[in-house]
Amino acid sequence: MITTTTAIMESGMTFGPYPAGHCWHIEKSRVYASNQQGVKMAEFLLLRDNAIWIVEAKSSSPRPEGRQSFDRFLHEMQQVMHNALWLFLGVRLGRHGPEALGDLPVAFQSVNLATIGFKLVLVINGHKPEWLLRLRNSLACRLMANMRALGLQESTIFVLNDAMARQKGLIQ
Amino acid sequence: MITRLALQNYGPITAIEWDRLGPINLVIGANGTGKTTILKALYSAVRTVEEYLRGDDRTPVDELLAAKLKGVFQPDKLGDLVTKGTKEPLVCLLELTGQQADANGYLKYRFGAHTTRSLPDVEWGYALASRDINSIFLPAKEVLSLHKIILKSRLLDKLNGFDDTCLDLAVALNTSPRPGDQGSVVASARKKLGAIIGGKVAYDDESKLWYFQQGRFKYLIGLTAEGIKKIGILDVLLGNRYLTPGSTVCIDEPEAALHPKAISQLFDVIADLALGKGGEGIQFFLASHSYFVINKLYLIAHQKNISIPVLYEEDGQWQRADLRHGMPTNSIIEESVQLYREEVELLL
Repeated sequence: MITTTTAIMESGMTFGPYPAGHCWHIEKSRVYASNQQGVKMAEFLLLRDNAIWIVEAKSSSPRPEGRQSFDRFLHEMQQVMHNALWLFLGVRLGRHGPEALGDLPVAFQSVNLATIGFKLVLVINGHKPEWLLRLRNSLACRLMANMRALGLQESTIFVLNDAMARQKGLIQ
Repeated sequence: MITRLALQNYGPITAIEWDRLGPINLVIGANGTGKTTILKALYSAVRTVEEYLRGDDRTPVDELLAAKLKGVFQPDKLGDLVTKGTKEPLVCLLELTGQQADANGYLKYRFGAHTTRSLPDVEWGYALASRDINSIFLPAKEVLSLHKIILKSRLLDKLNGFDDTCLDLAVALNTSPRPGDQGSVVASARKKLGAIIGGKVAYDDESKLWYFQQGRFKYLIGLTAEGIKKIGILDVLLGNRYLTPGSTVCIDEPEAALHPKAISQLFDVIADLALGKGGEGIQFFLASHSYFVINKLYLIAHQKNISIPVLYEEDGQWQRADLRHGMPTNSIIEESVQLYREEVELLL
């Protein structure tokens, strides 16, 4: 079982450590390793407050002014969140086999998929506070269809900078 | 299309210089900063340009302008519009272009605090008379339920109270429909407006009353929601062709009385109308203090890849920005950041 109670170093930030069995390092999982070609993936999933947080970390983000690079970034983040959500659901539904399901921490195996909340959290190191809401809204626009198809609200998408992530106890 | 607006010593506005205007333009600022004054200054100038030499009317442009300023702002004397405490004159410059080169022109006027009725210094471009289009100002308060009262009060009783933005709108709503094809952009926009409010606002010639028609049912306008009336008015003005490509629409506080979803849908329609067909649409000037409006227009600027010029007030100075290049920094945006922090704290 690949769980982490140790900290995850990513994009210049130290995530965790989190309670044992409550974090699935999806980017380092065997199921992702065998399916990763062309599939962008979030860093890890965290079970917290009756919700699964899908967490992606970046060291920077292009400003919306650079339209092409901003669009590329949004597209990448959309893929990252979408893929992580679907890979988790695929594993949980047993579509990747019993071994992949067994790699999933027990706490994730037992959540009720009909009622568990999902929170898509992008953490950008050093991002200016006034840029966060714009990025969140732009990302929410991109993910709207994905979210609605799964009966989720766009309001469960968050973009944080390191200071806010620290305040929420996500990073050290 | 209006391409430039410059104001000096205009009520609360010390100075603004706003050029490279686009199909959609936004003025943002806190209460009392002068957003509505900017829109009214622009509206009174563009209506003067549009009415000059229209039909058989040969009223000189300075008289038309003085009457419009008095009607829109309703001052005791015109000099009351000059910024208090300054000895400098009020100056306004409006520049316009059209699809035809001879539609290009400008209107410039200036006057001091002692000006009473007539304007001493008005300049205008030679081709202004070639305009046969109408612009409108949609005030924050709705006028449909007061339609008759506005017309009687201003036209028969000659009373102040309802300014020319209300009067012009009341008259525009009374305009008989012009025949001919509306074009696909307007037809599509009207369909979308109807979908937003789930019906149509219309005038009953027999009862002489406005009503809201929803399916088979007609509702008295007094029983109709403010937001429905607001969107219905735009539909009526498109339907009777008071508004056509080349028109300018000033909307003061477009967010007033509208649900956020309706605001979002209305702005999608505004974007369609502004971009028009073949490059000429209806030009919009919006005054708002809503972060929701700013953000929606920011998204439209990126989705449509269009320039949306913004004039915003910060520490008593008016600054320019373009939503295509990013969000301006001002107190409205800062407040939104604070709200977002609170949202994260609460929901994450």
